[in-house]
Amino acid sequence: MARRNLALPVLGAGLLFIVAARLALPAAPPLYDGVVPITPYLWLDPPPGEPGGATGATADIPVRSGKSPLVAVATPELEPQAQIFGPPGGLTVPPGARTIKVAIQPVPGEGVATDGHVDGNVYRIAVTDENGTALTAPASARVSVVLRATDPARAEATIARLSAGSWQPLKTSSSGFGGSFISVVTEFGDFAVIVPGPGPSTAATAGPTASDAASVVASGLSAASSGGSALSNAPIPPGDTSGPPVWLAPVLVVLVLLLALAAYRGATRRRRRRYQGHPIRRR
Amino acid sequence: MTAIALRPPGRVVRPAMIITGLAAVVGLRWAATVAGVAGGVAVGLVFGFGLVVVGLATGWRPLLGRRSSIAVGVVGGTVLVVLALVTRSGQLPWLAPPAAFIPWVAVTIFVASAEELVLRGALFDELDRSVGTLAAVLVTSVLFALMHVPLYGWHVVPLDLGVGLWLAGLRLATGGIVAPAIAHAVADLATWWL
Repeated sequence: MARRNLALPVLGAGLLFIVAARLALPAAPPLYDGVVPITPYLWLDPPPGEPGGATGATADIPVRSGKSPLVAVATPELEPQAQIFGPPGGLTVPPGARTIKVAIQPVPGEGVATDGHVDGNVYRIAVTDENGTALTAPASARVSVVLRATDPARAEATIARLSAGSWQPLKTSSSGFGGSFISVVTEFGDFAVIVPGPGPSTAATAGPTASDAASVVASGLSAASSGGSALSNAPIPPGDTSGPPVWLAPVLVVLVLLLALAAYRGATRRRRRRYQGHPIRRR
Repeated sequence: MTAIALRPPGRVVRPAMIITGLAAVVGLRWAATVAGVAGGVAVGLVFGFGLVVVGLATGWRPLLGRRSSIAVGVVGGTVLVVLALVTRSGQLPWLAPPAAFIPWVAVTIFVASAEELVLRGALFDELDRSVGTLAAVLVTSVLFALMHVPLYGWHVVPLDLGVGLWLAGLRLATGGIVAPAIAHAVADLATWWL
């Protein structure tokens, strides 16, 4: 009876948490779990052995009552390599505008990243009205750009916007899925994922191969090991890696199993010592 | 009543064993995913089997609960889906996973049920007996949130904590794992369309 009485407050608390979390988080996984494979990263200008064929996405979105509706446009890959997401009313729409035109296109890379290199494609994101007037968004609207790194297991990266020929880092956090990162933006332009270390011209590869990526399931994995998903505008330390080494996970699992075994054996011995010759009643 | 038996190991040893096993299975899934040893469906299948082993290894057997559990589970899952739809403005646009539908459905249901078997089943009952119902609710909900961190990142902890509480509430209301398992599966399956 007491348990059933507890059910209602627990359900209510759960409901409150869910609603609060969904409203507060700029990005959340689709629901609560799932098994979602990731397709290989497609390049505009593929390095040797990597697949090409990166494409963009466009959308014409009608303005409603002078305000922007929900804007959610994504490139067609799974998961999308570039996305823009704006909540209703998030974009500043010029008076009289009837349509919001969104275009996401991969473009040849340019510009210099001072700390790290561009990982994957540069995406040009244009958001205009029907007259070509560029739209902006207040920071409070949390209009977001989401870009996917080439490595689905990558934990840390920074989304940067090309400004006056150089990549300006934006406050970036993990989107929680497959090496994708999210930044709140106030204006649009060219965006790219910047990762630490030398670029592909000096490194052997720029992350895992396409086949690796294809076989890996959703893996924000990394945020777990990196101690959190929030990144900052702080300079990217050269030589930083995408989280702890992979081999650490099985080692930790083995250690945990050994500890569990030791705890179990210890408990069993104590139990035998304590109750040897002193049978007790079953509860 | 008067049967003679060994006293079970300490109050928290058995729950600790389950939590350890759960951590090991989650860790293995993480390692398999990072290493890219197999596709998502295969990894999910192995993950589910691991959870079932952890849940049943302690000798725990499922409590099915009341007859109304199925209906309560469907309603509980629908509430989660509706909440996701209603609060969609704060969510990224997601597309249907490209895996073949039938295997994906099967594994998703299996994994959701296996998670419930361990958390709202074996572990919940052990904690309920040893440290009380409220502690069982809180610990299983926190673990539910934490076990999703490797897959989605830390920022989903508040959301999954809420979902954990919701599922625990269904467990309390029906007395078995059928309702939370169905609700969990319904919510996960909705990702194909949402």
